[in-house]
Amino acid sequence: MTALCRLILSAIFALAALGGLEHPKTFMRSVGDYQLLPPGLVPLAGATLPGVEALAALVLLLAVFRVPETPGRWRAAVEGSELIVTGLLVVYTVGIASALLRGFQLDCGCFDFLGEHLPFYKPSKATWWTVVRDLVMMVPGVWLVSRQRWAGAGDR
Amino acid sequence: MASRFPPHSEVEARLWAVILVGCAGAAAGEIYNALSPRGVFAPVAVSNPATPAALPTFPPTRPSARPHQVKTTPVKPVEDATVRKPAGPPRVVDLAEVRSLVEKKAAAFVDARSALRFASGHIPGAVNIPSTDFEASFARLKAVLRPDWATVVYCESADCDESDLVLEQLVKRGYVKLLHFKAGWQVWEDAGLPQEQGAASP
Repeated sequence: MTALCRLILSAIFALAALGGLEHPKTFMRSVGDYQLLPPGLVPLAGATLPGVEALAALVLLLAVFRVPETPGRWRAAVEGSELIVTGLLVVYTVGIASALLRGFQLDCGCFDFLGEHLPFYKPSKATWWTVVRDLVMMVPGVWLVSRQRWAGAGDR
Repeated sequence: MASRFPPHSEVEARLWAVILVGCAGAAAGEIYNALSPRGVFAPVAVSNPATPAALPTFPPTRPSARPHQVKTTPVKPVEDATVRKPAGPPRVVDLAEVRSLVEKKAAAFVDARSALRFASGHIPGAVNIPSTDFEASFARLKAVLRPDWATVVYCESADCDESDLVLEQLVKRGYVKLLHFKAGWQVWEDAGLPQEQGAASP
C-alpha cells in the first residue's frame, strides 16, 4: 500500500515535471497567470518547481523498489520527499482555488506534457473540478505523511 | 527543536531531507533552465518598433493612398489557396508559412491569449483579442482587422483552444481569409524568432 501510494505520487509528479522541463517558458507563463508571485520571481519559480518535482518523484520511485524500514538517511529522504509532494499539492490546490475565487480564467498548467503527447488528452483549464482532482491526488500523500512518526521516536 | 547537523532524530533528519531535496531539485531546475535554449533564462530577440505605433495597421501602405509606393513595397496578395469557403474550418498554417507572412507583412495577426501572456511576448505586429474578452477587444480592433484580409490567429500551443474560439467568432462576423497557426506561440518562441513585448496599444 505504501509502495502503491509512492508510485502514484511519483507518476503524478514525474508527468507534471516533464511538462515544465519540455516547455519551460509555457510553464513559467502558467505560473505567472496565477498572479500569486511578484513578476520578478516568476521565472525563478518556473525553473525551480519542475526540478523539485522531478527529484522528489525520482526519490519516491526508487522508494517503490526499496522500502527502508529502519531509520536512516534514505528513509529520511523518502519521507522528506513525501512531505514535499504533499506540500506542493497543497500549494497548487490553494493556488488554483484562489485564482478561481479571484475570477481568473486560466490554464491549469498541470499536465501539459500529456496534452503534448497523448492525442486524446486535452490539458485542462483550472476549474473547481481541478481542485477536486488535486484533493483526490492529495489522499495518498496525506496517508503517507500520516504514517510518518512525528513523536515518540526519540533521539538516537 | 534545535536543528543540529548531523541530525539526531528521525524527525530532524526528515526535515533536513526536505531542505536538501528541495534545494537540490531547485538547483537542478535552475541549471537545466540556464543551459537549455528553451529555458526561462534563454535570451529572446525583441523586435519592438523604436517608436511604438498607435495600432498596427494592415496593409502597412494602402496602394490607393500612396500609389508611388506600390512598386517598392507592394502588399503581396494572399494566394487563392488561402481563400476558403466560409463553411470549412480555417486552413492551418505552419511555422514556415507564418514566418513568411510576417516578413512579407502579408497578413494580420491575432493573438488569442490573455493580455498578460500577450504582453510577455507576441508575434511582431500582432493584436491581442483574448478569447475570454472577445467582444470588447474585437470592438476596439475592428478598424484594423478587415474581413477580406488574410488574418492569422494563434494561441499558446497546439493544445490551447483560445484560437479556436476566436476563429469561430471571426467566422461568424464574415471573415473569409482566416488562417489558423495551430502550433502557436510556443513554436514561434522555441524557434528563437523575433518577438514584440509589451501590452496592447490603446
